[in-house]
Amino acid sequence: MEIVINMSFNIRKLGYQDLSLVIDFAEKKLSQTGKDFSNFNLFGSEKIFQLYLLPAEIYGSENYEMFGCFDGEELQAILGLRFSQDHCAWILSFIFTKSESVTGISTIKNLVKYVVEHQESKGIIQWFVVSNLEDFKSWQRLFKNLRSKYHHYIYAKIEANSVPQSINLLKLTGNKLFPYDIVISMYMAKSACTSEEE
Amino acid sequence: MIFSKNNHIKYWYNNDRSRIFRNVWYDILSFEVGGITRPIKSFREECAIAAGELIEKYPDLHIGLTAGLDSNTCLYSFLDIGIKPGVFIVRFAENLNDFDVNHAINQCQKLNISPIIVDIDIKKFIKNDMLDICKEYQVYSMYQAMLMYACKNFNFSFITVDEIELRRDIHPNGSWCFIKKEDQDMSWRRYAFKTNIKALNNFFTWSPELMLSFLNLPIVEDLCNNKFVGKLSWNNLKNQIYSYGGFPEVEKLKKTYGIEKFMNTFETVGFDIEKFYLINNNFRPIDCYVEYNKIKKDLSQDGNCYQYVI
Repeated sequence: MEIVINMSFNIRKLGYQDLSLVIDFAEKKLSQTGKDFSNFNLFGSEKIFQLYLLPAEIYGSENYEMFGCFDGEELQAILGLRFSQDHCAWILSFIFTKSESVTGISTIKNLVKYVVEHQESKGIIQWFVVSNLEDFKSWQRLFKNLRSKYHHYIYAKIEANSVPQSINLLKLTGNKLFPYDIVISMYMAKSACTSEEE
Repeated sequence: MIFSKNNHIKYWYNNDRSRIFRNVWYDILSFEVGGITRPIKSFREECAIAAGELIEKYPDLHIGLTAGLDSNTCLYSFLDIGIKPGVFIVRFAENLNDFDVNHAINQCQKLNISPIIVDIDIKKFIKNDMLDICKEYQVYSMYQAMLMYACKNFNFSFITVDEIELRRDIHPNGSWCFIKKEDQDMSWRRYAFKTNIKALNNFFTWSPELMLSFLNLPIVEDLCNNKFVGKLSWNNLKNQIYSYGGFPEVEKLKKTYGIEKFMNTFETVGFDIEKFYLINNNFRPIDCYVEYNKIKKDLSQDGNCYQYVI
């Protein structure tokens, strides 16, 4: 399933055959900046990208997906997500773009929109974003165009290096303790929610 | 070390067949089974064959005996070939598992077997040793860690009896599956590797022939074809299945887990272990599942290798 953004940009789900392309892309990005730009997990190893591009024969591979935005044949951005069976929701794992410019932001917005609609088509209408508290407002602005269809909730705020009281939150994030304050945002389709009139 | 017939069951991580410890949470776990090499016999006959092959390899083998269906069926399998195996019984302080202990001791008395009784103060174990054992052998449950603690001074080979677990609440589409666990089944490999103790746990999965003879039982086929309404696992049909499979002696045994008298503690402790792993490594153990019809087909042919990711 593809969506055409303009004459040359297109988005598709990536597969095992795209692994070397993704690793090249990520290595270039990692070498360009020294900061932990993932905001979600520290993905310093190529193996973590393999996780999102596993062959379908591997049990559990269906819980990880990666999508890429291309300009012609050139990869511009990647987005990885995983499913939480416990929550019947997907969790945004990472977004990398080739550039940190206006074009990059526009690319991310379109990529996220594509992914949200892709998950909707499978009946998954709830998703989570884990972000550094410092960058929370930036992430909110990024998903602003989705707010017409999705309610946004603050699911949890977790202090740096602390263990959440509820173990489900750790399962949700699936990661080690964060060295900074984090916010877990939850997005839920408005169509699934009842209103006061009902 | 031989853990199953021709070591037909193997586990490893990523592409390294010698790697039996998980390093990172996204390591891919491989689980391999072999295929049958001869026509299969009845379930009871295959159990007896497995017992014979085990005792040949490990003449000093001891069975971990409880009041449970699995270990008692295993015991009867050895008796079928005229062998009285060694037996060890784990006894908790404060009579916390007296049902299991009393049954096992009675069985041994009837059979004139002198069991080795290992006394454990489960509360002290949980407080002082449990997490160390979990960390050392990558164990994810209190019960397995407790058994490893109980067996740490054994100088003979022993088997903690496994089962051919069937469940339908693991597969994403609710299909009945055969299950092997990264915790309960695979941790014993890690234990044996690190301690050099001859610790086995594959009885009912000892050979592809034994596995297939069980999976081919008509009652098992009925279960996995949803002829029994409302079942999520084989657990409360175990008595009938083993009885139908040729072991009517176990039909009247009460289904127990061995932790009934301290269930609350068990659940709390399980949570503590889970939290320990999530904080330190972000590990969660995988239940390796293979669809019922697929595992039957693969056992009937050349076996297969299955891979899993959390």
